[in-house]
Amino acid sequence: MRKINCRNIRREIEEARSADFLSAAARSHLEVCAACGTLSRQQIKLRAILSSLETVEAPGDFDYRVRSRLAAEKRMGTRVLLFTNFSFGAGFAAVAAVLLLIGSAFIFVSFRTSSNPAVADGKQNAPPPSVTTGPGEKAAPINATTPDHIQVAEVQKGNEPRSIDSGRSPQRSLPKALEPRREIAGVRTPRRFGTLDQTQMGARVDRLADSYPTAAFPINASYQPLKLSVDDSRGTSRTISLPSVSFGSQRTLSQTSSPLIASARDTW
Amino acid sequence: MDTLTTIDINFSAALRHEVVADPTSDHALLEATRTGDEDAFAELVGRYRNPITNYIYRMTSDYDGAVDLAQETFVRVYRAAERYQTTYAFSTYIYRIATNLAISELRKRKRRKLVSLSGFFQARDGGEPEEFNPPDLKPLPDTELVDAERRNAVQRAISTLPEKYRAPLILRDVEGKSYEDISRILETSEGTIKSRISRARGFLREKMTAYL
Repeated sequence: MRKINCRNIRREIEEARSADFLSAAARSHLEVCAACGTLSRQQIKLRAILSSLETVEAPGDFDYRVRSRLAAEKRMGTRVLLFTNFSFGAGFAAVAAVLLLIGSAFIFVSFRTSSNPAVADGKQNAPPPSVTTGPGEKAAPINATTPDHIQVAEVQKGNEPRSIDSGRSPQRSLPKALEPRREIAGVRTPRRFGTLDQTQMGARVDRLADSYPTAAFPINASYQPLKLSVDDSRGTSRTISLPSVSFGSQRTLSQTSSPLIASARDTW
Repeated sequence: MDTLTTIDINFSAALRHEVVADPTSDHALLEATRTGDEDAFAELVGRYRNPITNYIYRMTSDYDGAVDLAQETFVRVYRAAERYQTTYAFSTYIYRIATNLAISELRKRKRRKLVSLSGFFQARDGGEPEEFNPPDLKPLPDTELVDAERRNAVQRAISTLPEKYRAPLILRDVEGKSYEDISRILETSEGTIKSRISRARGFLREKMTAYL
């Protein structure tokens, strides 16, 4: 019974503007009920604090600023009317972001594909990799069908590729200058363990003749052998004949028999 | 709660005539504003600029933002003057606009999580940030010092209230509005308003035990 009474009295305390507006029954209850009395005192203090909050005043130029805003709205006129009810929600922004992401991904993929046409065209359309040996010579195709069987084109008279079965990994068996460079083919492995189809790439061709133009190096050396006589002061003398020194290019150009062989016949 | 621009309930013709008959009443001034009387609108602004600024400031705890929103309130009143119907008191109408703007601002702040100076002074209990109050070095008498500290504590406590409790409490205990007016401003039943005010006071009592 007393609980119900307390509840009613507290409701009255809450709704009353001040303690002066409380009924006589409520006042008599507050004299005997400590809990309700405490609540009433706290309520009075709280209201006093809240009502004592000083009023914040608007700045002096408030009227002027309101007029300025109204004038600005009038100037904008139709533009304001057009965009007043046109707002973008969060859902619309999310859809726009997804569309933008898909579009940028598509552009990125197409850009990457166009930068490597050999990969884009496929195996049938890719030109077979070849090694050219000179300006007038025909390119020799390389048939790289098995990973361990690599043919290396050598610059020889016949221009026929010589087969080398190295038994080692193809990367290591190749000379460094002939190793296929991924940058040339425009293919980069995106990850560490990415695969690279080397059959789709053209072999690198180094034209040394273009890089280093041939030049004649004349060597003024006689084809006569060097003869050296040695006398041992007891009447005995010996003649040492050293063969003439020649280089490979000289031998090729002279088209003669080797002076080394000729000189070695009857001397020493 | 969307921003209100009109009140759609019709007003009886006799009462309307009675209200507008007084040339200094709010309704009469708004009627004059409709016809293009700029001075009448200036008079309305002069009457309500301080109460509206104060109310929005108590809601948002941001003076500059409160001044901006108060200006926006008057701009909306002017813009909707043609559609205004003198159904309720003009104060109810303008307080409703101000309430909606303040609540919209509070929700925007929650969404944006704005980094402000007050953000560096988060409440210990994880509530809303406490207001930044640099110490005033001017010597104050003890009573003034205690009062100032108490006012700051009240403002901090109010700013931690949920918006549905904050608005009715401020309207009742700071602005001194009746339950009937508050229920019209907030478009909520009187019983709900009483219940919310009671809960808001209980929350403030807990927060301000040291000052009570």
